[in-house]
Amino acid sequence: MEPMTELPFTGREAARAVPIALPALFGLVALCLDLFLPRGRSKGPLAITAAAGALITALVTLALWRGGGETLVIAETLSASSFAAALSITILLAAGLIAFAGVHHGQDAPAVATQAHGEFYALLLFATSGMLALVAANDLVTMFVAVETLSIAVYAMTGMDRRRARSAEGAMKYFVLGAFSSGFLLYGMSLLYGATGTMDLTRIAALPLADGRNANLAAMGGMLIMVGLLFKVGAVPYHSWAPDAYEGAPAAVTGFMSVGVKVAAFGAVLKVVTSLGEAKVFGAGPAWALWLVAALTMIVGNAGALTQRNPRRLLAYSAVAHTGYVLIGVLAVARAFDPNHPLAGAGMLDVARDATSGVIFYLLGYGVANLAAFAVLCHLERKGEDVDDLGDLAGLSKKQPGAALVMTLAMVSLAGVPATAGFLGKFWVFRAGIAAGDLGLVILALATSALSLYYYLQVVVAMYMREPGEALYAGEPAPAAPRSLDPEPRRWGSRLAYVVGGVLIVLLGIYPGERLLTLVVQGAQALLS
Amino acid sequence: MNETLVAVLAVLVKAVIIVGFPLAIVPGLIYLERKVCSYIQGRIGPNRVNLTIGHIDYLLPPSMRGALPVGLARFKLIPGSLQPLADGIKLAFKEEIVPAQADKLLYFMAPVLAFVPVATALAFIPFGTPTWDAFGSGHVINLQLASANVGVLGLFAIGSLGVYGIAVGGWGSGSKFPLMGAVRSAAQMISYEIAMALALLSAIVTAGTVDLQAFVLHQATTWGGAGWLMFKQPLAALIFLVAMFAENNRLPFDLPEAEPELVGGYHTEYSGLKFGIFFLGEYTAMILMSGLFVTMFMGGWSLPLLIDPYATGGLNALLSAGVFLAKLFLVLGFQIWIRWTLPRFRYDQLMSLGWKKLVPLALANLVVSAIVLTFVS
Amino acid sequence: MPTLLVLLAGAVIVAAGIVTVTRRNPIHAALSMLVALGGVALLMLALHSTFLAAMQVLLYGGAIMVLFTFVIMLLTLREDEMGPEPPARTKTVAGAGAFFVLAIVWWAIATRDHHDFQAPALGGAFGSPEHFARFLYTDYVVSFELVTVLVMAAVAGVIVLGRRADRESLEGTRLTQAPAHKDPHAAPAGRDEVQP
Repeated sequence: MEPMTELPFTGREAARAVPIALPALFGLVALCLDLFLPRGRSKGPLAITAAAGALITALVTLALWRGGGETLVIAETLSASSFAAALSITILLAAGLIAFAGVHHGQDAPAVATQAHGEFYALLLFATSGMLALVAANDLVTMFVAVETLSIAVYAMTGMDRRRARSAEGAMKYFVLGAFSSGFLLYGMSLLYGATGTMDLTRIAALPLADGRNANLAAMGGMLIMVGLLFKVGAVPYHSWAPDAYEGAPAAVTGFMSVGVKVAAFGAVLKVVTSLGEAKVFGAGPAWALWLVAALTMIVGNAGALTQRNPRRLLAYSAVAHTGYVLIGVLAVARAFDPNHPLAGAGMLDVARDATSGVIFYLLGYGVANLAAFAVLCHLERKGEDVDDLGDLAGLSKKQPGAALVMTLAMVSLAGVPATAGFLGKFWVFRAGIAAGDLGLVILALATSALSLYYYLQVVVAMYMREPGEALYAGEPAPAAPRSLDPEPRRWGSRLAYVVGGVLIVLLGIYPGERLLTLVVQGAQALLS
Repeated sequence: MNETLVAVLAVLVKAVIIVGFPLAIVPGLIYLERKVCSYIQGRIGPNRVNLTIGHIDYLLPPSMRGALPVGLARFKLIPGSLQPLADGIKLAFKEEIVPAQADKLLYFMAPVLAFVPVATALAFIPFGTPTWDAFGSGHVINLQLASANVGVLGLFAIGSLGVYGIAVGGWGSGSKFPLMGAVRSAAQMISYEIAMALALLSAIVTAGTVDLQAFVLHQATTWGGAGWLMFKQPLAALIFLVAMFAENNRLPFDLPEAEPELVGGYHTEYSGLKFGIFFLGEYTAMILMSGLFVTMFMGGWSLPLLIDPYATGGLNALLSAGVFLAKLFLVLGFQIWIRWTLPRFRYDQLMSLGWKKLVPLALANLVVSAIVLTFVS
Repeated sequence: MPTLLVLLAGAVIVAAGIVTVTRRNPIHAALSMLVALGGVALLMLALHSTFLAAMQVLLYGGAIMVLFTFVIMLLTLREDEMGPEPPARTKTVAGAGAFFVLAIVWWAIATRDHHDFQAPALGGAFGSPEHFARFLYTDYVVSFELVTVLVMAAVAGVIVLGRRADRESLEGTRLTQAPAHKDPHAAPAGRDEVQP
C-alpha cells in the first residue's frame, strides 16, 4: 500500500473548521437523542441540546477569533476572519433562539410541527453548519456545497407541517425555484472558473483580469453567481418564493430562515462582490444592475407588506424590504471598486469598509428583531395553529403584556425607530450609501421606511388598541371564536426566546458594547484588507 | 511475428472473444438451466433434439442392422443438447406482434438497451494473465479488453445501464403487467445496487485498487496465492452474491417477471426475436455478474500452484483462461442451483432485506474493514 | 482527435438537451436527458477525467435517471396528463430569452483571450481515482465533509416529509378519507360464467 499523502494543512488550521463541524455534530447527537424520547411528548431535551450546540459553537468561534485580518486555512478553502466570526454570531443566535422558540411543553405538543418531528432540531443544526461554512467559504466549491447544505435542510423544514397544505405548497415552491437558482449559481461558478482557472476567491481577486478581455467571461459568471445568491436573500425579482414559503413554514422555521439564510447568503454576496471588485471585473454595469435590484426590492417589499393580514406573510414582505436596505450597503461596497466612479479615490475603501460594518450590524439588528417577533408568534401558537391573522393579536397587551411589549419593540426596531437596533443599522448603512454617492437610493429607502411604519404599527394597534375578541377594523364583524391569548405558564422556551430577543433589541440600540463593535468593524476590515 | 501486427490482432481477437463469448455460451447456459431444473424437480428435461452421431446402423447393409447394440447404434452425444438451437429457430420464425398501445420507438429500442450495456461491460473483465508474451514477438498481451484505470467502476457504471432495457420495455409496451414489472425492476435494481456497491467498496479497500487486473494479482500474490477476497472479506462476498441475484432478476428475486403475478413481467408483450434478445441480455447479465464475482472474490484467473501470475508463456495464459472459465461456470451453476431451490420473496421482504439488512451490514463491514486495514498496515 | 471528441460530445449534449426540453412525453424527455448526461461523460473522457466519467455514468445514468423514470412510471405520467401545451407566446418569449442568454454567453466566451492561467498537467495519473481522491481528501476536505452534512440533512428531511403522517393529527383532511368500502366477498357480475 502507498504511504499516506502528506496533508496540505496543519492541525492548527484544521481547528479553524471546528465551528463549522460542531453544529453538525450536535445535530447528530439530537438525532440520536430523539430515539430515546417518549413518543408524543415535548422535545425539550432536543431544544436544550440544539441551543447548547449553538452556544458552544459561538463560544468556540469567539475563542478562535484573534481579531485583525483574515487567515486562509485548509488549502485556502476557508477564510477564518472577523468577518466570518461576526456573521457566525448572528446565525448562531438565530439557531439558539429558534431552538427554544420551537419547544412546546403543553398537552398539544405533538400537534406542533416542530415538536412532532424531532428531526427539526437536527435539520436546524445541519442548516446552521451550512450557513457557518458559507460565511467562511473562500472558494467556489465550498461555497456551493454550503449553499446546498443550508438550502436542503431549510426546504425540508419548510414542508415540515404535514397537516397543512400551505406548508407543502411553500416547500414545493421554495424547492423548485431554489433548485433553479442553484443552477444559476453553478453555471456562474463554472464560467468564472473557465475565465480564471481557479476556484479560490482570494486568487481570483488577485488576478489581473481587467486588462484582459477574460473580464467579460468572469463578469458573466459573477453576475450569474449573484443571481443565485440574490435568490437566497429574497431580492426582487427573485423574491416570489418568499411569501409562500414564509407563510407555509411553521413559525419557528420561518423565523430561522428569515434570519439565518439571509445573513449567510449576504456574507457570500459580500465575499463575491469584493473578490470580483478587486479583480476589476465588477464595474459600472453590475453596480447599475445592483442599484436597480435594491430599488425594486425596497418598493416591492414595502408595497407588498401594506395589504397583508397574515403576520408571517407581512414579515415575509418586510424581510424582502430589508433585503433592499442591506443591498444599499452591498452597492456601496461594489462602488468602491469602480474606477470610473465620480468619487473614486482612496477614500472609497473606507466607505466600503464602513458599508460592510453597516451591513454586518444591520443583519444583526434585523435578525434580533425578526427573531423576537417570531418567538412571540411561536409563543402564541395554540394546538398547532399558528397566528394566521393580525386580528388574532387583538388585545394581546391585556392578556400577555410582556409578549406584546417585545412584539412592539420588534416592530419598532424593524421600522427603524431610534433607540432600537434597527435604527442604528439603518443609519449606518444609509450613511455609507450617501458617502458612496447613492443619495437617490437612500431617499427612496427613507421614504419606504416611513411607509413601512404603517404596516408595522398595524400590529401594535391590534395588540394595544383593540380588546380581546374585537375585530381589527371598524367595519368588520368580530371573530366568531377568538383565539385564546391567555398565558400558558409551561411554555418557558418561547418565553425565554422572546425575552432574550427583546432585551437584545434595546441593548443593541442603546449600547451595543465595545467588543461587539470591534468585531463588526474588524469584520469589515478583514473582508476589505 | 511483427509486434505491431500482434498488437492490432490482439485487440481484434479479444474484441471478437468478448462479443462472441455470450452468444456462444448462452445456448449452453440455457441447456444447463433446463437440465439442472429438471434434475432438481425429478424430471428428465429436454432430450428430444439431440446432437447425435447415432443411427449409424443405417449406414450398414440391411442385413447387418440390429447387430450393433442399441446404445451404440442410437448413440446420443448429449441428450437434448440442440434444444436451445431449436428454441432459437422457433423464436426467429414467430410472428412479431406489436401491441397497439405500444410506444413504438421505446418498444423497439428496449431489447437493445437490455443487451448492449451488459455486453459492453464484459470488456472490463480480465479473463487471463496480463503478461502473455505472444509468440515471442515482444508484445505483451493483457487478457482483458478494456484496461481503464477506473476498472470495476467503469464496469459497474456501464452495467448499471442495463436496467433501462427493462424499464423502457415495460413502459413502451403500453400494458399494465409489463409496467408493473418495470417499476419493480427499477426499484429493485436501485436498492440492491447500493448494497452491492458497498460490498464492492469493502473489497476495494482491502485490495487497495479498483483495477480489475490488479485485483486478481492482489489475490494471486497474497496468502500464498489463496488470498481470495471471499476468504478475506467473506461478508462482503456474501452480500455481493445475494445482491447479484437481485441485479439479475433471478429467483429468489425475480419479481420483475414473476410469472404467477405478472404473466411475464416486463417482457409480456414481446415475442419473436425481440423476446430472444431480452433473453440473451438476461443471461449475459448473469455472465457479467458471475464474471465480476469470480474476478473480485474468487481470485479471477489465478489458481495457486497451477498458474504463475507473472509468467509470459502461452500455455500459462491459456491455462489461466481455462481456470477463469471453470470458476465462471461454477458460479453460474450456483446461480442456477439457487434459482430452482428457493421460492420467490415477497416484495416487502425483498425491500426490507435490501435496505434494512444488506445495506447496514455492508456499511458496517466497510467501516470495520477500513479500521482494521488502518491499524494492520 | 481530442478536439473532435469534445465537439462530438458537445453536439450530443446540445441535441439531447433540446430534445429533453421540447418533448412533451415525459419518458422520452427523461431518456433524452440520459443521453445528454452520457454526452457529458463523453466530454469528461475527452478531457482525460476517466474517474469522473465513470462516476457520471454510474450516478446519473445508473441511479438518478433510473429514479426519474421510476417516478414517471409509478405515476404513470402520460403525455396527455402533462397539462395543456403552453401558448405560442410563452414559447416565443422563452425561446427569445434562451437565445439572448446564449448570445451573451457566446459573446463572453468569444471575447476571451487569456490562456496564461495554470491548467493542471495532463498525463500520468491525471483523472484516475487516486488522483481525484488525493484532491478530495486534502485540498477539498472541507467541502467533502460538508457534503456528508448535506446528505444527512437530506436523509433527515426525507424521513420527515415521507413519514406517514399521524392519523390523529390528520383528521378531517383529505388524507384520512377512507376509500369506498368494498366487500371482498361480493362476487363481481358474471363471475360464475367465467368459472370453469
